Amino acid sequence: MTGELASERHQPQRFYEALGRTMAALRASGALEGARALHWWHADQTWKIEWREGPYPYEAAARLWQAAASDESLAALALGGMIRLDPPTGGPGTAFLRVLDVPVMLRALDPIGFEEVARRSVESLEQMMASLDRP
Amino acid sequence: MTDQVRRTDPTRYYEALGRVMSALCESQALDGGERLDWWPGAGGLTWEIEWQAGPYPYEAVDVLLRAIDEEGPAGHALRGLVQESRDPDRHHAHLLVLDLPVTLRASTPVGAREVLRRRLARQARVPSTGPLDQ
Repeated sequence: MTGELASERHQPQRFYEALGRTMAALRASGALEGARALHWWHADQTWKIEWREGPYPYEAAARLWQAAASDESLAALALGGMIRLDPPTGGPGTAFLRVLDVPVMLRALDPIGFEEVARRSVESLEQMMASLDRP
Repeated sequence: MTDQVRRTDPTRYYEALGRVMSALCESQALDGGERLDWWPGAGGLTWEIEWQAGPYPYEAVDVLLRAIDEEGPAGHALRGLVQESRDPDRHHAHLLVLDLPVTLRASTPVGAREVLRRRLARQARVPSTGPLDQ
């Protein structure tokens, strides 16, 4: 698209659009299910999105990519044709994407993975059911 | 303007979300807020941003606007691009970002003062052991 990376100073419009599209699709695709203490900021012309617990970053990235490729979803509206997954480099705690050619880093502290997120969610629903059933 | 902005001007639509989310996090306007959520409102005309506990929406707006006035980095994303559109109530505040309506919604706000009080109480209960404590 261009030799110079978009940033707050250089092409701020595309820079912020990339964050907006990423956040919209993260939410719409459920890619952050189970994540707590969500934070995001920019450094080195890169958007960094970080959470605790929740999915492994590669899981979130894969779900985002799949949702972007599926028809008629809110995530596809936000990211369809605009997301690229970068090869993994930083170990299981990080994943890298490009949205509108802007680098986006997903990072999780103490991730537990989607399977464990689902298990805990079922468990807490069962506890709620049990407490309702109690006389 | 009555047509869906998401369809007619998607760049501005998503740029508005990116700018407001960036400013909210950088200014720490939502500190103490839990279960943050955001979604497109009115089928792609607005953005809705919601949290539980945490500050009242008008308090979050105050922090956001102050960050812009103070000309620090936290205000950069929204400088010159945001205004309040109508009066807030207990659970909602209304902004226009790039002329797009953005609603800040707190379902069970406790207020910035209470957020601070709870943080102080927590610190008093758990004495810090130094920088590694974080």
